[in-house]
Amino acid sequence: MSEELGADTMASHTLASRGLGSESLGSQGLGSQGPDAREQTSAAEQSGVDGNAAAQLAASSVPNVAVTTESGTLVSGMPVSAMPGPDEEDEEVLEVDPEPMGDEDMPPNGFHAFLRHANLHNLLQIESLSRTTGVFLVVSGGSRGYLHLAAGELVHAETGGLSGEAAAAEILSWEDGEFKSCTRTLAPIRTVHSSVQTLLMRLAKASDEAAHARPHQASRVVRRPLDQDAPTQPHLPPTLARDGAPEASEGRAASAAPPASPRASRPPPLPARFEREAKPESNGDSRRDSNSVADVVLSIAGEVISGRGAATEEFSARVAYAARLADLIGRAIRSGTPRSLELRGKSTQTLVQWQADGTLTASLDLVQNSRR
Amino acid sequence: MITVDVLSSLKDIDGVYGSFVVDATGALILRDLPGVIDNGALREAGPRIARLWGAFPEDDPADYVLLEFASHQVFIKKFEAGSLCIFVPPSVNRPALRMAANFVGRWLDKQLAALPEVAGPASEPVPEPAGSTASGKKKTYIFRGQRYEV
Repeated sequence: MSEELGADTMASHTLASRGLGSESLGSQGLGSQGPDAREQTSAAEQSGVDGNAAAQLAASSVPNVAVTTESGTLVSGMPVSAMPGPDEEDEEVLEVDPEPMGDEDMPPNGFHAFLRHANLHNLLQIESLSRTTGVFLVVSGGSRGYLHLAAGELVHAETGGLSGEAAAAEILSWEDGEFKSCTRTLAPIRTVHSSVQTLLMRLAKASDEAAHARPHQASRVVRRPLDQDAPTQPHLPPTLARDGAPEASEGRAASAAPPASPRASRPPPLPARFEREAKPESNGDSRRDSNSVADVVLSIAGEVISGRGAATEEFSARVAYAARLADLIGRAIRSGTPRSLELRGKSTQTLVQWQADGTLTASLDLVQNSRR
Repeated sequence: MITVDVLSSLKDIDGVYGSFVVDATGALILRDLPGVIDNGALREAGPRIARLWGAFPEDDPADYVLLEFASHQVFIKKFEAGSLCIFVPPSVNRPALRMAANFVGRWLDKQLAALPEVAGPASEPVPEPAGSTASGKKKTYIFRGQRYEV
């Protein structure tokens, strides 16, 4: 069938050892090759494929997907801690092939999915939504990179001489290739501080802006097996790792990185602002003449720890409500917990800030003649 | 007919990632966002955004809300018929953004007011973006030569 495996622009996605939780890929039905497609679908649905897995596969916007598994081994239901160790995980290389591999070719654990037209962004989102912890090898042409995920957060990326967000941007700009979990040790230091959503959003915007200038990269089938993963090596010099400086790995020497490739030697396709540090309130909008009316500190449970000013009780209730809604909004759009919330009215401004210990501090100011 | 074109004008402000609009009940009306944020997420956030205005004092009409996250912000502008939500970097030129949001808000108010009173959404159903993480459309999967629809 022409729509099956083996077409151009293919990414192999190893779902085996990482991430997808107990609701995901929990089917043994897909392991058999029964003649009745409906029965297989039904079995798969009953055992959970219509849940998270189907949603996540659907989420990948892959028009056609073929899934194979080794004789129904139910590995994906295990917690990450119970997953097979690195030795067992040293699976056979996935080979993009016009025909699905037989069961005998599959590694001894979990599921492999071959996603035609899969998008690396979507694959990363699947792992992120699954709160995966692990390292993924991305191979595209002659380039290879590593994406380190901790509980679904992209914490580190490296390719060629790049690391951190620049490396993530470089890797995520690759348009075809292979994506698989690997045994590389998770980076001890976080070098990527943006959420996956934010990172992808930035990249999408950068991609939009560069769409006219960047020639479309011809798709190709990667037929060679993946090379053995590079041996695990520390991601930071010991002294830097001890210091715990997140920026230390950004300038990591190329010698500690995977072999450079022509693609990796290119500068990352990012606008300059991508590299800038976030500078809160650096936008020149501080021209307000305000008078503090009230200040409160709220506990996680919304209790008033301290308060000052008029109508503290009512103000605290409003703050607690707004903060809760803001938190829910942040979760809904997968941006996490807010750092601050500014409620700007015609005559007052409420500023709520989330503190590291979970408490909320809020202030109510009168705003006079702040806007035209 | 309300089109998404009006939202694209917000991208005149340097750094704006995209935006979406919800009506007064929080229902999604328009979107101009990369596919990494799907409509499901926006529909989940919409009612909360609509309720957020309830946190303002009654005697102080709401103007806008700014939600700051780790690496981006969501600027939410209230207009008569709903809320305009704009994803921006922290470094955005906020006065310019506010002016652009005012403009778009006024435009949306006019467009929504001009629509006849009908049950249902004010505009066409918001299409799911390409590459979205959750689509309501059926997906076809092929497993060993068999076609499955989810």
